[in-house]
Amino acid sequence: MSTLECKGIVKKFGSNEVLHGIDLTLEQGKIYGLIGRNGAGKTTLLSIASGQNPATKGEITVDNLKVWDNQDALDKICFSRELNITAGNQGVGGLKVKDYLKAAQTYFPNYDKALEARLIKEFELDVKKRLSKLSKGMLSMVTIIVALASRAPYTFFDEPVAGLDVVARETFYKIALEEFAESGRTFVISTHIIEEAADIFEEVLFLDTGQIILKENTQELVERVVHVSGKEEDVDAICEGRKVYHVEKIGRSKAATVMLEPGEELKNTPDVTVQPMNLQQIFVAMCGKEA
Amino acid sequence: MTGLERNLKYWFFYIAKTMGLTYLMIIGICAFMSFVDGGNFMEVFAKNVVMYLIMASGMSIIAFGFTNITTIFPVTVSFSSRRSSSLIAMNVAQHVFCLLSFAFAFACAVYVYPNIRPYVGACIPAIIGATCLLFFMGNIVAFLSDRFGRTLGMVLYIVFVLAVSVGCVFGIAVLTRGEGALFAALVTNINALGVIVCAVGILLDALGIWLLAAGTKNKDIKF
Repeated sequence: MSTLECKGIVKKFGSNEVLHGIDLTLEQGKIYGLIGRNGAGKTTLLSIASGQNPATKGEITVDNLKVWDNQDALDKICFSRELNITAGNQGVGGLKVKDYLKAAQTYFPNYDKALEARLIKEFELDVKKRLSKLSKGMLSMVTIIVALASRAPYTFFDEPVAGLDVVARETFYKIALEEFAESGRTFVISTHIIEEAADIFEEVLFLDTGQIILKENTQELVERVVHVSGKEEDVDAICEGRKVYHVEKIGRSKAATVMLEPGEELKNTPDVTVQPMNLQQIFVAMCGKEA
Repeated sequence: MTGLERNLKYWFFYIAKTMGLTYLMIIGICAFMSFVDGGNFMEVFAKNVVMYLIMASGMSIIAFGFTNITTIFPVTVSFSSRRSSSLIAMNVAQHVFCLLSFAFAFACAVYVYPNIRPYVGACIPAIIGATCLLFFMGNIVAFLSDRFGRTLGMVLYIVFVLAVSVGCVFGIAVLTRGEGALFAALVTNINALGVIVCAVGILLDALGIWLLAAGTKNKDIKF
């Protein structure tokens, strides 16, 4: 089976270490959600995993080929970055959309022009406009078009829905799923709009302060993590021997986010309320660290 | 297509587009000026074209150094290109187009000024050398801009140019010291001078490309 592996990835900017020894395996034919707070290192990790930027330490391989500076490996990966056209990088902004897409057509060996044309039509994008004249949402559309039309076996999206209206977001999810079903590509999608995208994630990766704190099947994760509340002593009894996140105390009552063992179930009792949590709530709780 | 082939395709397309528009404009303006001048159209046109093409090509080389490395090169890397392939193709495309424009300008100069025809053989290596020297300067701009940012990079480039100018003045002073036999020998032997300029230009150009490659090899690409 085809895999993309990150082994011991460390990244430093000067003396500031932003990624701390990340080990990660991405399998063929899955959609991963990469979730993390601002500054967690999502874009840095994706830029290194795609071979665009060097790691300080560690190695990335795809199908046992080293990615860094290896065109055969690079041809299997597309990382369509979030385009930030600011006063500081007006140079990129000077390119027209059609010129930017033309470059993508040239570089990606499996680029699908028909899919590109379809996406341009679906998003109603004016390709004659300069990138600097596009809104944030339209810039997201450009990066989505490049990523989907690249047909790269491993495709990374960096905040693809940033700035998109709800209709455009639904269009993206629909087309991404269609493309995934047809091609069996691996998608890694980093996003802050967790609940909307959770339905399409087969696995989630939680990145916090430069470390992967969780990598799990989405459905199993949502079934395993519950919110427990009740009297302090009863909640403490449930928490005993289990991973606990985000504890709240109000008077003699206590609430906690608890991770159960695979297959384990916890039922409501007269003294304790057990509630399921959605992916966003789980992530927020886990960012508060294990109690 | 290999990675290098894709890069050559794209960089030739991109530079042809950016320089092509400039050259078409120059040719159009020169044709208009020649028509308005009323004299021998081809002669006046050739004189104007020589001047403007040389100026445009020289300025383009410096401008390329600045914009291509800070704007287009990161785009190519973001599209999964190897950095070395992109740099090689960028330099090949830039060199080809600029040498072609200088060659055209030189052909026009030979047509307009017949007295330089005996020196064509000596001029060609000198022109190649001078072009390569300009590219060396362009790659220094690119390296400094990429390393230190646009503003500081430009300041350091001006300091570099001043230092080189002072060095050249000093070098000429040394060559012309005493009876200046070495200087006189060089000036009278145009062929040898042309070859020396060519060799120095090519070496410095190669040094500039190496510097740029070394500077961008492990640099983080940001958008």
